[in-house]
Amino acid sequence: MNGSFFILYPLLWTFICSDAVGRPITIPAAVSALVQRADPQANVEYCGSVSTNRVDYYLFLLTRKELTGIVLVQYPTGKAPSVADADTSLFPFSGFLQHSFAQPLQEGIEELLTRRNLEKNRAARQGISHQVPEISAVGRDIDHVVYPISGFRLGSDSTREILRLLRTGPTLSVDPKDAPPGSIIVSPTQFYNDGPIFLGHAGILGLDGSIYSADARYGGARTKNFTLSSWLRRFSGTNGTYAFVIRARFSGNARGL
Amino acid sequence: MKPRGLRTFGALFLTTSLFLLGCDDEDTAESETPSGSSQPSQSDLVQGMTIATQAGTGAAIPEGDSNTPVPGYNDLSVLGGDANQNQQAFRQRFNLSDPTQEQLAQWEEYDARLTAYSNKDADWQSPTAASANWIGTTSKNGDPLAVEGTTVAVDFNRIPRGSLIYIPALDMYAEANDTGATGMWAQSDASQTDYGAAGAGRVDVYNLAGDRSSSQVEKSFQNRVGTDEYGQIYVVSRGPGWKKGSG
Repeated sequence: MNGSFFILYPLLWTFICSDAVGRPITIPAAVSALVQRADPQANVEYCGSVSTNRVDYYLFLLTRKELTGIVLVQYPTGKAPSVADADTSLFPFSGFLQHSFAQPLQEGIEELLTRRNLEKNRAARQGISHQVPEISAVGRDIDHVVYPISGFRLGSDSTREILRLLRTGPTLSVDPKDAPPGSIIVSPTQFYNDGPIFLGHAGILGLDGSIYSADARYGGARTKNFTLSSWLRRFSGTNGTYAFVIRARFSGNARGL
Repeated sequence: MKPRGLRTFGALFLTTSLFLLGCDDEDTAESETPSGSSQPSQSDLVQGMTIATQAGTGAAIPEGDSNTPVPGYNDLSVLGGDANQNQQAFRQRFNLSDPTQEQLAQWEEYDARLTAYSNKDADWQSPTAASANWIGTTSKNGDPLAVEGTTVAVDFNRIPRGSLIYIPALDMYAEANDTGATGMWAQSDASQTDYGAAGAGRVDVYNLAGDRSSSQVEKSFQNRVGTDEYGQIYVVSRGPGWKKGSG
């Protein structure tokens, strides 16, 4: 923890109070235009805003067919808004959000998502091991299948984090086109600060080339919703597609989901 | 008495051997995959089969085979009859696929008022304007009438006859080959933003009512597209020129 934390944290917390975490009636036109432009085909749901002394942050949910994700737009005073982060989950926080001085912002985001989930009456779907309010279930649905069999689990619903965990875990990277049944397939979310946003996804390669993944149209339930070929068509050009075989005999320390 | 260098070499050799032995043991214990191999072992594949089988257990599987569109965003069954099949045949015939971000950025985007019409509408005329306008493109069976899943009625003053449009709310390509009560629309919708400079006006999507009444069709459609019928469309190609050279 560096010295700036002690200076910045109280300063930020002063401005991120209960009045500053909420849902203003109007969203700045530049912000809504940015989100719409970033993914014109997505259904957009506004979750609320978090204000700091210099920057307003706006949180949106994007849903597009099977996919759902979160977009955080930053709008500094006197500057144009830009996409600060976007993925199927923002947890664990990464990038600038992982810095200690961003702790109040992290808490604000968690509060907004908690409020949103309560409003949508989805609290019952939150896994007991998840302490953070998730929107997507891409990692959770994979864990429910893979963990009891292999002892390996992701513990994250972020496609970028899932890719990182698979790259560093007890896995073998394989060519997605030749991936054997049971492989985990992931296409990480990609975005540019001015858009576009390409929501990513992750799933399990089943038998006969089918893919099972959390489906936003069914409240995140695991669904046979892609074939390997349709997945590659959908994601390879924009997100990139990676496949991993979980190595057998990995003696993970089994913990309850 | 052995030379000092030889004793040092012996100790180094022993240490190195033990280290390599230890490494080998660890590899064997952790995985059957040979060290350095990028190929899954037989055990990896067997475990993978178990995972693949388990993934299918309890999963939501759309009725029918895996090619059947699942209900939801890209399901056009709300339009009735063979809407899904007609849309699929339309896409195949004209080599149309889900638009990319780059394509959407290039196409002309307009605000539009998305409404429904059907063969049960009291003012529905048979044959429709689509019959006269039909150029033999949207029907798979040669029936020169409005076809659910591919036909929309538009104001030809705003969207030229025969244009190819894309409706994001339905994930649907359609040919603007029918026209409705254009004059009445323009009058009743005059205050709507969709009739402004950036608007395409009313886009009336054809439904085959089947057992439903006209009002039921309209209600189902409005529930499907949401947002009080307001939406966007993209004009992919103005006029019928896009069909040239297509099978």
